[in-house]
Order: sequence, then C-alpha cells, then structure tokens
Amino acid sequence: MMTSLFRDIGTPAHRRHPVAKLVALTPLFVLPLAFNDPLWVLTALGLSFALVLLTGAMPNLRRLAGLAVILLVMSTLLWALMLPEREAVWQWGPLRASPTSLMYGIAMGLRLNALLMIGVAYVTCTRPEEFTWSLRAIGIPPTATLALSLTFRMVPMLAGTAQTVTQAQVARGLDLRSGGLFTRLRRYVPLIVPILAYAMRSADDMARALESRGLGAASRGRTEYREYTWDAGDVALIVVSVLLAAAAVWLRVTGHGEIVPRL
Amino acid sequence: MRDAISMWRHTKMVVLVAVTGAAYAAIMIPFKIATIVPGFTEIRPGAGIPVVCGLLFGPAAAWGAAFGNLVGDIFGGMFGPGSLPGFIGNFLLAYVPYRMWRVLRGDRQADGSARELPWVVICAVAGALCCAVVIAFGVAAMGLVPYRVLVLAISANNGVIGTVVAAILLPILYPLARSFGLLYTDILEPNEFVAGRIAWAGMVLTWVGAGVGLLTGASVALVDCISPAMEVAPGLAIFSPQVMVGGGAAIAVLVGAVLMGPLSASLPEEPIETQPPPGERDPQ
Repeated sequence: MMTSLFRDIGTPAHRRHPVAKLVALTPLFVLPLAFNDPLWVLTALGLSFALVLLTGAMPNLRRLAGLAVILLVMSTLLWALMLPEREAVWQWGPLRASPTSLMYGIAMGLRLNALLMIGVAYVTCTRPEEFTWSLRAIGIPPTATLALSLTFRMVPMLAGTAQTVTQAQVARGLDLRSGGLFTRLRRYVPLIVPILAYAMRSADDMARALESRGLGAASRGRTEYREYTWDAGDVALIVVSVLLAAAAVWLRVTGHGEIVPRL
Repeated sequence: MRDAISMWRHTKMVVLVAVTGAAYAAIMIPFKIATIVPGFTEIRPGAGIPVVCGLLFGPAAAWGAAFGNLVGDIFGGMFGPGSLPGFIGNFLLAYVPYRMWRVLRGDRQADGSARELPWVVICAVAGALCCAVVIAFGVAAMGLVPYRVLVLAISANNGVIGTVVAAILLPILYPLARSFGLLYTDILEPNEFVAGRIAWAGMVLTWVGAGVGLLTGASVALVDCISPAMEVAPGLAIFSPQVMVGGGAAIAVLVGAVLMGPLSASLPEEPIETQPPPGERDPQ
C-alpha cells in the first residue's frame, strides 16, 4: 500500500513552521550540488545524514537503502563512461573512461544519495497537508493546492483499488510475468481500465461534494483548519540553511571541491 | 496556455486534476514491466495515462500528470531538485498531445478509432519527446544523470510504451468519459480551448525543439560538432555543450507549447458551439 513517508514522532524538526521547512529546503539542496570532488560531496553527504538522524528518518532511509546503492553504482558507471571532453585511458565506441571521469562518477553518485537523504528527511518531518499549506502560504492559488491535497488523499485509495483489481485478475489466471514486452504490456490493460473507470465514476460525486462545501465561492475571509505560528527556531533554520548554501557556493567559486570545471 | 489557467474556475476540472494525478501515481509506481536504467528509468504501462487523459480531459490532465509525478516522488522518497523538471516534463506529457490534437484535428474527438490512430500516435510521440527533453535537460543541468542517457530512456519509455498503451486505452476510455460528461469539451467554454491563430507555428517550434533535443542525445557526432562553438561562452562552461543545446531545445518546446494554446490575443471573437454533455442533449 502506498502511503506517505511522514513519521509522527515529534522531533524538533517536526515542530518547525511548514513554510520555514520548505524555504530551507532549496538552499540545503545547494550543498551537494555545489561540489564535484568526491571528498567534498562526501562532506555534504555527512551533513545530509545528520539531517536524517535529526528528523528521525532512519527507518525511511533503510527502506530506500537498495535504491541508494543502485543510484550510487549506476551513476558512477554512467558518468565514468559518458563524461565528455576528457583524456580517455579506455575507449570502446562512444564510451570513454579516465580516472577523472571515474572520480566525477563517484561524486555524482554521492551527490544523488545526499539529495535523496535531504528529500527523505523533509518528507519524514512534513505531512502532505503541511506541504500543501506551505505552498498556499507562498502564493500558490488555493484551488491548485486543493487539487494537490486531493491527489495526496486519493493515491492510497486508488493504489488499494489497483491492488484489489490485480489480485482479482491474477486469481482469474492473468499472467503478468511471462511473455514478451508487448504481450505483457497488453496484459496490463485489464488492470488499468477498471482503476481509471472507478476514478472517473467518483469524479462527478467529488465535484458536487466540493461545490456543496463552497469551492469556487468568494475566498475573502476563508480560514484554515490548521494554523501555524513562527518562532525563533524557524528563522534560525532558514538563516543556517542559507548560510550553509552561501558558504558552499563561495568555496566552489574560490576553487574548492572541484575536479572538473562543470557543475 | 490560457486554458491551463482558466480551467481552475471549473470544479469538475479541479476534480479531474486530482483524479488524473492520483490514478497516474497509483498505477505508475506499482506496475512495472522491466528496468531500462536501474534506479533511473523503468518500462511502465502507466506512461500512457497522461496521454490518454490529456486527450480526454485537456489541461486538467496536464496538471494532474504533473501533480501525480510530484506526489509519486514524495511517496516514493525521491522528492528533490529533480522533481521540478519532472513536474514540468510530465505537464507537457499530457498538455502537448492535447494541444497538438487541437491544432491537427480541430473539433474532431480523440475517440481512439482506427481512423484517428495515426494522429493519436503523432500527438503521443510529440508529448513523450517534449517530456524527455525537458526532464533530461533539467536533471543533467544539475549533474545528476547524463543528458544522453535520460533523453533516450524517457523517449523510449514514454514514446513507445506510452503510445502503445494510449492507443489501446483510448477507445475503451473515451465512451466512459463521454458518458460521464468528463470530456474537456463538455466542461470548458469553447473560447477557453480553441487553438489561436499562431498555433501552427507553435506546433512546428515544439517539433523542432523535441527533434533537436532528441538528436543531441542520440548523436555523438552532433555533439562533437557543436562543442567548439560552445567554447565562445565561457561563463556557461559549467554545463556541457549537450546540456546547453538541450536547454535551447527545452526552451523551444516550452515556447511552442505556449503558442499552441489559446493566447488571449488570438482568441476567436465568436465562441464556437460544441455538443452539450450527453445528459443535456436533446433526445431529438
């Protein structure tokens, strides 16, 4: 069953204002993006891991450990073979590799893992409702954030329907594992159609329900069910993350953490 | 692209955004046939959903595909800077087929009939290429995955698998959507979706951008040819020539998509009458 990665464990990170968390996220992503020397990216990875520990995201990270390893290995391989414009010591057709490209590949694999950790830390300490609330607070129109909220709500429901339909079709003898690519592709149609039909059937009812609750009415004076207040910790979170990003950019501009002159 | 803004006035379109997004996320993630590049791209039958929904629900499906991809990233633990190009790319995956259909076929319905199949394929492939170019540029610009790998993998997945699935699903889902009164032509006013006067130019620009973006990924010779020319821009040396050309292609695709939609300056003066929803139709 597909559910949010949010963990209701009440760490200090969970208590931060949703807008503060969203605003701090962008500069935090700059940290691993600023460097391409593996040692420097490893430092950014260490900071990202500290963030995981602070937000209590270790169980979620463990669930994604396999993906993290695959990303590291594949990114290292792909960049090692495809980094353009460098001195190749090994070549096979369009694929070329050198010690520099290998190091760059490792750095990019670590970068992906650092970004993964920051993302996991964020979704662990932020409810989907807080995410949409923060989007509304920074100026995204309420109808758009409402649609996003509805999407969050409907995904587990439709995923459950998908699971039920799959089990029912498999029980009737549908074989999803054998056959060629297009044969298997065709076999997915009996699974997709009922899910989409179910979703379409619910659309009309949902539209009526939304209108009966005032969607489309004048938004002046509209109130929120949840209210959040700012405190010094929220300001500190934004200031620290911006300072970290600024320091990373300054270090890179002054020639640190770079093995090739590219991002 | 006025249609993508004005549609938010219609409650049914808001609901269709959520329905498309949730169905996309719910089907995309669990249903996987094979892996192309481990960790990055898989063959998923769900790739056809934005195309089908785009042709049926119009701009609502475009927002829905973008939201579905974002929600899938958040639920799957992949939320990050790559989610932004993913959002824009998936928006185009549904928006471009819908707009291109309006330019090529006008008021004819995308009913999935054999006669309309070649047009569905053209529109679906265009959407897939636009999606691939924008995502590959955004992700490669951040140094996450090589441009070439991603543009080819996404083009192959969405272009081939997405088109096949869309061609199979459309004739099944069109009558359903029509009977529920969920087609965008049933919900939006005609002047909200009728193509503007320069829509053909937009379509040509979209194809040029998509074609150049794909060729930049596919052809090593082309990249070797353009690399020296790129050295004249040292300030942009942090990006590879491939990424820079991909960026130009992505911009062309985005501008083309905007021009294909109704622009306020090119809206028809008289609204064109369309068929009312089935429930309101005269029995005669």
